[in-house]
Amino acid sequence: MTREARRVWITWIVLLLLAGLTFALSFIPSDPFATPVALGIAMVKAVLVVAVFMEFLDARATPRLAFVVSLLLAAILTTLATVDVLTRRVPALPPG
Amino acid sequence: MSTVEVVVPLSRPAGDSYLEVPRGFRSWLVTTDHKRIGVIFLFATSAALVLGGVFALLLRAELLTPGRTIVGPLAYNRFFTLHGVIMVWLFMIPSIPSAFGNFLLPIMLGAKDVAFPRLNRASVYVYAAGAVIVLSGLVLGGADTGWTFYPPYSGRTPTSVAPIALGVFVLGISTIMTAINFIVTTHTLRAEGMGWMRMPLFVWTIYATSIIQLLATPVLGMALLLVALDHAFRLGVFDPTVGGDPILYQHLFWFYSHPAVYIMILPAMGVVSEVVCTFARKNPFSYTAIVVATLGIAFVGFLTWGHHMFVAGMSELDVGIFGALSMFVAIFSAIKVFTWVGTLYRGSISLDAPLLYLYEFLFLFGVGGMSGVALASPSLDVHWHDTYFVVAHFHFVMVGGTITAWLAALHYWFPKMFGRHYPQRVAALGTLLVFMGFLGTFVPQFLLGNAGMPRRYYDYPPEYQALHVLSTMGSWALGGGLLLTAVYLVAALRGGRRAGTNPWGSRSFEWDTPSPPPQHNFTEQPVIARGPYDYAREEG
Amino acid sequence: MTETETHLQAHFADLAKQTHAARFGMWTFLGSEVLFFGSLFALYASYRAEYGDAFSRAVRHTDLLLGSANTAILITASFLVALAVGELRAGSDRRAAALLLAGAALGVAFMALKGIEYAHHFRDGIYPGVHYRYAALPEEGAKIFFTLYYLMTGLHALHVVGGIVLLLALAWMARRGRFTARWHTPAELGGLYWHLVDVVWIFLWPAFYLLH
Repeated sequence: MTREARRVWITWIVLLLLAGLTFALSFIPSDPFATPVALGIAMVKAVLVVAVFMEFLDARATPRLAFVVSLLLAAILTTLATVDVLTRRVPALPPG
Repeated sequence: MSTVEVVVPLSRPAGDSYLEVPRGFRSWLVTTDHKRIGVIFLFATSAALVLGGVFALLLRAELLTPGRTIVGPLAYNRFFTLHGVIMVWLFMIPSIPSAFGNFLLPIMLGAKDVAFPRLNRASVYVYAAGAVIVLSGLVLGGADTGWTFYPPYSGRTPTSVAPIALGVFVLGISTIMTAINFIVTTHTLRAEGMGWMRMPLFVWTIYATSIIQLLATPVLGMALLLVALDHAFRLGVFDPTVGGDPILYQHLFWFYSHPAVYIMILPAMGVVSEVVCTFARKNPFSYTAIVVATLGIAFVGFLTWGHHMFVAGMSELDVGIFGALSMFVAIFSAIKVFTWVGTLYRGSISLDAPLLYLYEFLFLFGVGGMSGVALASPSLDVHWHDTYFVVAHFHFVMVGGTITAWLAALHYWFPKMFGRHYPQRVAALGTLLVFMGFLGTFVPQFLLGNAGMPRRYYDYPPEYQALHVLSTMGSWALGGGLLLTAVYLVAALRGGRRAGTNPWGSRSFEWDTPSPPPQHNFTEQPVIARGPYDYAREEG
Repeated sequence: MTETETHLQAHFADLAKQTHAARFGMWTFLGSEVLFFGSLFALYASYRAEYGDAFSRAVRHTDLLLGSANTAILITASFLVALAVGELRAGSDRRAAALLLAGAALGVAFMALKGIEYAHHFRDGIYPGVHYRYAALPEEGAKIFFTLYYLMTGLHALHVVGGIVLLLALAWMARRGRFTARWHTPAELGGLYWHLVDVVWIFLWPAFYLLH
């Protein structure tokens, strides 16, 4: 098996294991850690898919930059909208 | 001073320009030639300008008197909505990039075409599809929500929101296709010897614009898709009666629509940079400053969208953050204006229509930009928001800025694209009419807004009438100037004096090809040995 | 014609440049997709900040087993497509075609499970927007949750369908010998798209099935 194929197989196994881990953890009531941990594991999985399956690390600098900037902007949109909702003194919506 | 080594036959047999080769109407329908695609977009966007302008004239006519003048309030609401939708998405956004960008980008880079010519052809078809869908919405009675489609009203109005919103969604796809093409072309198809800092400044602005288009348009697409779904299926994502938050729609909408104004102005600024250097026969006062300012506008422009929402119910923290960032972005525009003025200073000025439009641009964009800085202050915006002050501000920058630069581009590159000259004295008259008409239309609107006249209002107290009448009369002069321009340009397409390769004496690379260029731009791959603004300084 | 000549287009100087341009084009397109889905994730995050409790309760009413099975399915489908590109590089076109076909089949399985999930929700009266009538969870936050659920998983499902069509086309091309060990750019680009669809699901899964 080539080195690349081996990397792909290992990544697959790790992804399934991480998914299994998240699945198991969802049964443990562990607020307030539940959300950050689940999202953290999701991010690790995403990074694996992008780095290995999408060969991000072997891509050239400018396509990588394009992708990273898009993630950054999506994060800015999400952050400022969520901060708005969290910091309103007068709630805009009915409770529920 | 080295000469550019572009190998191009300057005299060639007549009848083999891109306009004639390949022959036949059908070849235009399936063309992948970026120059033909640029011309198609030029005609399509010009038609959109006419249609959007008709709605403007109609709504200004209605505002001649308080109460009913020519139509009722529901029709009036549709007029300003359709004016906005058509102008922004069918004209302003594609006007310079899709027309002039397509035509010039590969030539300015020394390339034979864009990176993905078939994607380019597809972008024309998708634009056409989007336009047809929007026009079908128009035929079904249009919408009355304003071009901003705010929920909850956009979900409840009985007018045809869904086709118009979906049509714009489709237009957005065309925009993204063009953006991908231009970004990849700039990175991968520069001729040998053309480093990034040797590209014409117009290319830099098209490149930065494409980045904004790529990243902002998807969010608009989502916002409008949700509006269309809400209207058609009562999806209610932003509907308060099912727990939705209308302010979140505004976050999505303006996340696109603020960078959108930079999509509209950056290419115009690129035109200004080209025209300034050619007509002052001088290098830019600082090439680097313009490049940095271009990229600065593109990036910081993404961080300022909340200034459209100061009074919407957003948190004060966000208001403060967005207010500060909005002040910051103006610095880059100011850098450009000063650089252009510095370029003109002690230049060898030749006065012609492109430069006349450029002078108008500098004045009108300056005023418009400064009114924007004033509006960026939340404490002032509280009074001006949703008044004619805002309307005047954005028309000063959009019409006084972008359309003026578009007119400059039309006149500047007309000889290159069509191989003909336009009549210069008539054109000068046109610039005057456009300028006076513009001032007549929009200066009264600053006063109206400051006096409290709200925007989008059908009716008003009689004390505002004088200013409204002035504004409407100005709109007739502006319309007349644009009509005159259209007439002499169309006439010049066939009857104008034939143009040589470089009628303006420019050093920019597109002037090294014949007018009009041959199908494949160059016969041999150009090698670039100098920058694009290589003007010799005259001694003594 | 040499292999290079059949694939090189006139306006590119060489095949390496053209391939770089193609990959660059795909990555920029994926950047636009990040913002398209990203705007929905922004809505989710904002609404979650608003309706924390209702969202948590609503998550318990999605089908954890079906959702998790779909996660495993998509991860595996991505894996198969990544293997397929490797096989194309090694010149094993038939094996690559089989792997691409298997990836498409898993995509179909994903759609089937999604269909079953939606059917269960409809049976319970869980519809998007104003049509929602699930008595067990009447609060507004739950309505918004499920509206977002349908929007985001629905949009994702449409992208999966596009991916299935793409994989089938690529499998056909591989079977017909259209690719070579040195040129198989369409397959690489298709793979990039498919993997991004997987990445989106990687975040949809916790958002709608796990965070309670």
